[in-house]
Amino acid sequence: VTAVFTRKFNRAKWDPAPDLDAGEIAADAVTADLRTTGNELSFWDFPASSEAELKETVLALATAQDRLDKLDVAWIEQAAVLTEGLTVQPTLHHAMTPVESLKERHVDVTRLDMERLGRIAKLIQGAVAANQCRRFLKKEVLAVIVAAVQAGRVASAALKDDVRKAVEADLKSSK
Amino acid sequence: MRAATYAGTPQLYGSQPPLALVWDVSRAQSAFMPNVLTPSHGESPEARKVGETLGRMRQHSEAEVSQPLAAVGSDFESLISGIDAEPVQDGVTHPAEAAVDEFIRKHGSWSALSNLQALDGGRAASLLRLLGRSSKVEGIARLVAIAIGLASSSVEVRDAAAQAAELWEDPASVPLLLKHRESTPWLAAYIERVANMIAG
Repeated sequence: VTAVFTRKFNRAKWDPAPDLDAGEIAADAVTADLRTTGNELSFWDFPASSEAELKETVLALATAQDRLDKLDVAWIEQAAVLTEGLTVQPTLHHAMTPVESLKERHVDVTRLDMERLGRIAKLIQGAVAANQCRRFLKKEVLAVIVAAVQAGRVASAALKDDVRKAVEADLKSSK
Repeated sequence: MRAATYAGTPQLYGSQPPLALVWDVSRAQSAFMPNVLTPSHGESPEARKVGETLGRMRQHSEAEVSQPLAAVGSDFESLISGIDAEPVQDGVTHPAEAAVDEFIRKHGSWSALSNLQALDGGRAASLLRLLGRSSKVEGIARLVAIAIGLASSSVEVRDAAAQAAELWEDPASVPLLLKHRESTPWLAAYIERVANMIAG
């Protein structure tokens, strides 16, 4: 079992770009998917990359979002992050999710400059190449949230309008 | 043959398409026509409409194209500026979503689709993803958008077309999705899952 950091990304942006050489990372992928705040980049800390843990990532992310969409999740091995000399700090206060039990899973890679951000991009690129990523359909995302609401892990009232309406409609239709 | 070509869908195709779309649609038609309209797979009215629309569009020559890109140029440029302001992210409302709806209200779905060809892959994908979020894109325009998107050489645009199909959940798009021959394995798997999801 390998501990991982998970993160939302856009799968299509990490495919080899036709206008770049093999192995090069598209700047569009970095600027779209690795947007830093305060020179920090958000990840979720999990002891493994099992389906259950990936769904927990989806739950953490989707419950904070404006709308329901498919969701791409990638994971990088924690050991590789440390090997790259990157600094990781638990940052509960940066966790946007309303799921209290998941806030402690939130971490930031800190003190990022261009060079260190490039190392993360390389790790993501490697993860994608190794198929360390999973796409959840919109309906799968909804099912994850609905299950959490039913289990009392998050109140539907804590969700943003569009997501809440979809969850409540699903709950109503399944009665 | 001019205006009458679009007589079947005047609410969507009230004006002639720019030449750029004729070329793009030609590719889309090449990709889909033989498969979508194969009788052994059933020929739904919707699939037939898409095929007919693409076929008629393909018949247009440059001389028949009467509406230049410039007709919607400034509005389209404004729309793209809005799209460029932020990446389109899953789960996040994009600031240009309202502008997309307004553009369609003003110029029609057709104008938005026709200008896809003029964009690079990243921008075309962003526009297609936002079109997928719009309730203003309706009926056969959805199918044409998916067909054109899936025929793109850009994996990002093909992915955006599949995402639009996922959001629209139009059963008429299933034949398009199932008959698409996707060369990128992860995207092929996604397209198949979307088709199966829509088909129920």
